[in-house]
Amino acid sequence: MRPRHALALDQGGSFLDIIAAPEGGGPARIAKRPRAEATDLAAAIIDFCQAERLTPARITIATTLPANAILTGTASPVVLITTQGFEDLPDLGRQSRRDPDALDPPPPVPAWLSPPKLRFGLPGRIDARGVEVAPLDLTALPALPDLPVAACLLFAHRNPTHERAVAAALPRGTALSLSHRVDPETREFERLLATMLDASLKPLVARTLAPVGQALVAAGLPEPRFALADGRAASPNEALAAPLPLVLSGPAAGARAVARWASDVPTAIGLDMGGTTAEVSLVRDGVALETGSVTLGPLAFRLKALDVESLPIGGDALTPAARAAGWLPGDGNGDAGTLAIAEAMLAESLRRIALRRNIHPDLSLLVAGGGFGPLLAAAIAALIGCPRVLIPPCPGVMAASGMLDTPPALPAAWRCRNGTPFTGTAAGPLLLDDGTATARIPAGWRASLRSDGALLLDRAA
Amino acid sequence: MRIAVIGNGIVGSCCAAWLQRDGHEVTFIDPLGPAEATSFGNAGSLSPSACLPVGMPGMWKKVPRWLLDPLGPLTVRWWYAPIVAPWIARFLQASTPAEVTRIATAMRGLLAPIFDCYEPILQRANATGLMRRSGCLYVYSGEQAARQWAWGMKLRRSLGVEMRDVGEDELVALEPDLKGRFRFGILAPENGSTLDPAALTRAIFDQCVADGAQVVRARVTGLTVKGGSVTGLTLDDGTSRETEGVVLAGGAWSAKLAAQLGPAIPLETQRGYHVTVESNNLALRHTVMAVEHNMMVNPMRMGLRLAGSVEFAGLKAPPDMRRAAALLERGREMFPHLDTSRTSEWMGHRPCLPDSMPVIGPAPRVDNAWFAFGHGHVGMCGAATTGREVANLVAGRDPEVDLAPFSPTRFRRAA
Repeated sequence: MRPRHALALDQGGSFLDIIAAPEGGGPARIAKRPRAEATDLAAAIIDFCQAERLTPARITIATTLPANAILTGTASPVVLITTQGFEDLPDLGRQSRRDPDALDPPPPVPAWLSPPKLRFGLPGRIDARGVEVAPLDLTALPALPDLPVAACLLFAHRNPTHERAVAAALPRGTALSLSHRVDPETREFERLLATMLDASLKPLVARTLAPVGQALVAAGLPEPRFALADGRAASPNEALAAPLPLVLSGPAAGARAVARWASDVPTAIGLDMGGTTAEVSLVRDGVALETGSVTLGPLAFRLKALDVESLPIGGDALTPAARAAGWLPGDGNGDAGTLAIAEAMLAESLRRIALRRNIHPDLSLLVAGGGFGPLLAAAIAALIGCPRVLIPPCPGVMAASGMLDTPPALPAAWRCRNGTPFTGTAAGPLLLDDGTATARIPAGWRASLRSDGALLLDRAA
Repeated sequence: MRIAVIGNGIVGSCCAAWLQRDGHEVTFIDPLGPAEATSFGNAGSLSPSACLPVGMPGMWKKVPRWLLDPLGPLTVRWWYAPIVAPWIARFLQASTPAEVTRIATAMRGLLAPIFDCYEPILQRANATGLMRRSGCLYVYSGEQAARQWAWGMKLRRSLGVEMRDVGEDELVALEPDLKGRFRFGILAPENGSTLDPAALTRAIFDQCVADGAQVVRARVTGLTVKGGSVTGLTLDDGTSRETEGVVLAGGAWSAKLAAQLGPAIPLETQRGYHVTVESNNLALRHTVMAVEHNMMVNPMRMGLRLAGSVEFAGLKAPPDMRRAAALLERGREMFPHLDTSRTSEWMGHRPCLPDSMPVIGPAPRVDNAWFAFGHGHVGMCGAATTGREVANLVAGRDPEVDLAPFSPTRFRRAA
């Protein structure tokens, strides 16, 4: 009987990362596939299991698909059913601008999400205490196009009777999001936006993620679970019923991994830098900090999530410069100055993000993962004052490891550039590769290998 | 909501002003008029940079001197020493480099939005003229002397405070009155100050009243709690009032009421003094922090205010005006040409917690009371942000500043 494995997959902007950890311990296996070669997630999983000859007991998946659909505006437009007189709420928003100097500020709700002709106001009213003031008039509801529907009625979080009546009046099978279920909180605009985004993702999830589950089950594998923004995971049916938490699934998994590596320090800053973005998370007392609102590109919406900020700076754009500087093997004709600029930009962002949650870099550990994080981490730590950097084993698949319920035993295979395995301690400057990432130890830093395979970089006194 | 704001100093007034913006009906309850206590005579600094706690690393070495020198910058009256000793022990515990870094980080979060939070309520009160953003000069006898405070300055800079070293020539060009005594300075260009802290407080208070706030001139002696909510207030004039919510902003006089709603909070008064030189003949344009003299110098509209000094002697003991005279003496040292023919003296009670951070947050035992007191040396600086955040808490919105470090329950373990 072959040992059963817990499988974690992180579909990022550039790569699909896979970890297979045997249940009951033992060394985990990892794989990294270019995203372009692994567009069919189910096939990639089935291929991996066959090639590695393993039987998964659990499969957990994080994916950027929902976040990308919102960022690129390729998620579905949504029919809005709201209280009569509130049809313009998507355009009004909070009248707040993130950039006060912007000449053309982005609308509070993107135009593709809520075309005005898809907004319908129904007579009927519930007051702030949840008492019905005017009965709901469903006869005002026209025939709706075949699009997902968001119902967001005034004070539905106080009394959902009217929203339930709307749900009952719609044809069976309509993709429907009800505000009192998606986000039962005060403040109309925030509830409306969360509900609309939730509805908007339903066709995508039904079209792309639900079939992954069906294909895996058909192949005799277990039904997968999808990682959520708050660090939990959901079955395909749960994800289909409430898809909004699927945004930030990968970043949340990364934050969980960072928290695990920072369990014995008071505060830590996590940097998970992949090919397209860099995710910054924060940990206090071994717990990843949470937030009630999420920023995704120009959009800010209410969602309980781990507090992860995504910066639009990734390794793909920096690779030529890193090659030119000799940090990465291979030829490149980039400008090494680009790297210093990237380090300075990341350092400023990390400092801002950490201080916002009362975490001072001087007192914090920097946990760096992702394919590119270990290359820049020590330089960033030097700029912001972190005295120590921790690079987990197989940093390139750090986010995927966060989805596993127990920390996987990852092989530490750090090698110096001349090919000799790295053990013990050494002073920088030094470059160490492990097949998933390269760690750069600049002059003035000292690297040491911990027994669990993590690389510790300390600033020389 | 009908909310009683206990205290009409700068913190209570700012809380009320922000609460009114959300449509709440505010009633001020205070035995004194606006800005008749601590908000009256403070140094008037509005500093996003004032994030360092009072207790800094190495301070424990100075404790013996505090008891011996009754006119030093920090002193404990001998008969008060046994009463305040546990508080001072906790104060020293909070002065390790790691604690100071943690505290400064939290305080910077509270103080950085200072102008964003004052501006809307001062515009409404037509009083933006009482606030100026002319920068603060930290001055030293020389660059060598400044090194003693370099760790704190580095910490400030790491928190994003803009601070620029200023050599002797530039210092004299910036402030000719400093010529001779001071040879090195650090300019915090983003700092501001008020021309009159009492007038600033009164302007905000008066606008609240103009916008419908009621005023009750009485001291709250007790709170009625029913079913997990405060339902009424008992006043010292024998009457009682119903209320739907309470904001406790009673400064140094908050501890007893706070203890009714949660675990004891170690609130202590650090008595501060000022001398206002009404015959001021200097032409200062910045506020000046004389670091070695431990004194803040602020050119105000009623004269040059010299403020500072910390005295531990409780809320009841009469002021020791020799301390104000000592401030004036140090002022003469700084500015030998200062005309000191007309002066006035004052003492006020800073509400201080051992970690130099205020208490801002929901009262632990009830669901409709919020604490906003204990701002220590930075009441003017922190009041407006506190007001905005209290309004956020009352409305159930997410705070815009991470308030966790200011939690009313943070002293529970040791209290």
